Amino acid sequence: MIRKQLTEKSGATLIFVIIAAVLLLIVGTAVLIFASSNLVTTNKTIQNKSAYYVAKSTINTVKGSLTDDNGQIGSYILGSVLDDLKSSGTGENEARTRSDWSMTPTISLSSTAVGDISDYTISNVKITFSSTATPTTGSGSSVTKASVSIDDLVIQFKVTDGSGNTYHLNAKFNYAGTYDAGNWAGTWKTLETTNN
Amino acid sequence: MENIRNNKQLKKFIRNRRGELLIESMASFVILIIILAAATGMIIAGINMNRSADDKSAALGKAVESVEQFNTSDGQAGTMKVQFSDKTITENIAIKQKDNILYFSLNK
Repeated sequence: MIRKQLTEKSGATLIFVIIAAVLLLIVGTAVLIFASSNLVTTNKTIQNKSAYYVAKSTINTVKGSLTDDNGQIGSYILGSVLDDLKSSGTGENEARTRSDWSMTPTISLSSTAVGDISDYTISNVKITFSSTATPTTGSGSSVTKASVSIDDLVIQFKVTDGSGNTYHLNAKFNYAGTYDAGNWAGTWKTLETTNN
Repeated sequence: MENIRNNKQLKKFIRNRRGELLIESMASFVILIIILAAATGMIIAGINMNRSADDKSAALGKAVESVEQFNTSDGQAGTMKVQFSDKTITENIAIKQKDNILYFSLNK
């Protein structure tokens, strides 16, 4: 009886067809899964790139404003260090060192020509640094000349695009220079820019 | 008597295997056609998705290349406002947009 059932060939075609069908469906599903994951990865890459380029643009613009001659952000930071030196009453040739500088400005972008720029938000902006300032002529509020160095000035921020993709960026700078009656002479150095 | 005869006819009909191969072949053929159509549809959809991903990648590459060669004179005007606790700094920027990629730099 068992031998008869084993040698029975009726229904074999149907079984082969079902096996072939399952194999075909497995191949089709695999192709579909691979292609859709490829598409998802491409879309994510595009979105991440857009946030990355706005972050890169932001740091380049901030860097320009910080390190260019008479750059506005650079002047503001150096001015803050000088104001602190003057208000501290530090004597001539005495060094005033501060390592607790922390600023949390807000950065916003706008353009009437490129409306899409308002889709990006720059948040969690933080500037930290340490400074050493030494009056070389004068003291306290009457300092007219001073040497100033700024170490490890770190600017960090997060860019978020309209779809919620984010890109974090950190940039580190150093400054060494002198102040002479309203004029600054010194150089900013970019140490590193990192994504975290 | 009639019941017994009907019963015998039914058993004979059940045991009759003529045409079984034809029905099995037809069923197999129909199943195979349906599955082939489904698998072909899946593979075509997959190919289209892959092509779409390739097109998007190529467009992204071109956009990146375009913004990397950015010249501020080509850009549109905009501003970046940096607001400290006691001072607001406004920098003029030049913006360039290509597809999804937006790039800007200080406009001196």
